[in-house]
Amino acid sequence: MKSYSVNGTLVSPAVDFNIETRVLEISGYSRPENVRDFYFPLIQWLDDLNVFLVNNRSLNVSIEPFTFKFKFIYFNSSSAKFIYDIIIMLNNFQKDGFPMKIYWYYDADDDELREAGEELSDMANVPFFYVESKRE
Amino acid sequence: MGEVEIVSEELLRHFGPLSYEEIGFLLNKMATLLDKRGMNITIRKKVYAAMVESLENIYKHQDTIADDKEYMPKFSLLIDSQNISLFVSNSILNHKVSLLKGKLDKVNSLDKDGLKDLYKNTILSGNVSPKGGAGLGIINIAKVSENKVNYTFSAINDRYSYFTLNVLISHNIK
Repeated sequence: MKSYSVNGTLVSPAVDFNIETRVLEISGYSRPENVRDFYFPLIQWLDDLNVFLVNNRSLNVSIEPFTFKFKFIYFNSSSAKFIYDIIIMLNNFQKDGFPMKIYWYYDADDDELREAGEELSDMANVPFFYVESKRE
Repeated sequence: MGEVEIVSEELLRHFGPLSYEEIGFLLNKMATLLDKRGMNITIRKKVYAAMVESLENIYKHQDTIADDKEYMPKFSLLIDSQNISLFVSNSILNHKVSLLKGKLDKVNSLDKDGLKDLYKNTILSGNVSPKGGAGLGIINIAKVSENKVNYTFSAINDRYSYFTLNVLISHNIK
């Protein structure tokens, strides 16, 4: 299982799914021209990770938790559905016995972004940890 | 008894075919112009979101009229002492008008909590196409605007209408 990363642009987020550190992060702007082409590989990777973990499960070893960090500055409505799908997948990790802590970062001036996180958390019935950040 | 005159100033204007790159160009221009006028990040992000959803809507869903120069996509951003106002126009096939009108009337009938519920239910229903669709963009516009979304449909001919969306974002909230 290899890590997965994508450089961010002004229209698509940076992705850093690091299998070594178990920190999975997505950050920046999300309004890619073709939202499905952008998000499909991420969803595929998470699916592969779940299968990998299930197949390599050792019942005698305690499982180190994964951390997922959403650090969006902005995401459009076309991206929202795919972000929701990712959150549902993250919840499935938990259900399969692989702890997954989800952090939702938002700018101190951006109540709407925090609210968007709360809505997604509520919809998917998955708790988030909220982190207020101050951009330079 | 004189009426109070509201003087508005046009900050940005676009007329003609709209490419994905041009949307980015207009967003950058808007951010610079509003920053110069001392608009805070909350207002800038609201305008950014309303522009993305309305311009991407043109880019993805417009019904272009062949050989037409009059009813091409149009965008303008205006400011007055109270509001920032976006006008976004594009041609649309007449048979799509009633569905779009229904979505606009629906969001205009809802308050903030109602819009939140509609947004959630739309995502949960799974009826969101890869293009977005299902009216999520319109719900988002209504959420960030916090005002009713004004619109008009003007008949062009028996096949097309010209759709104009007007979004108001108050910047002078006391």
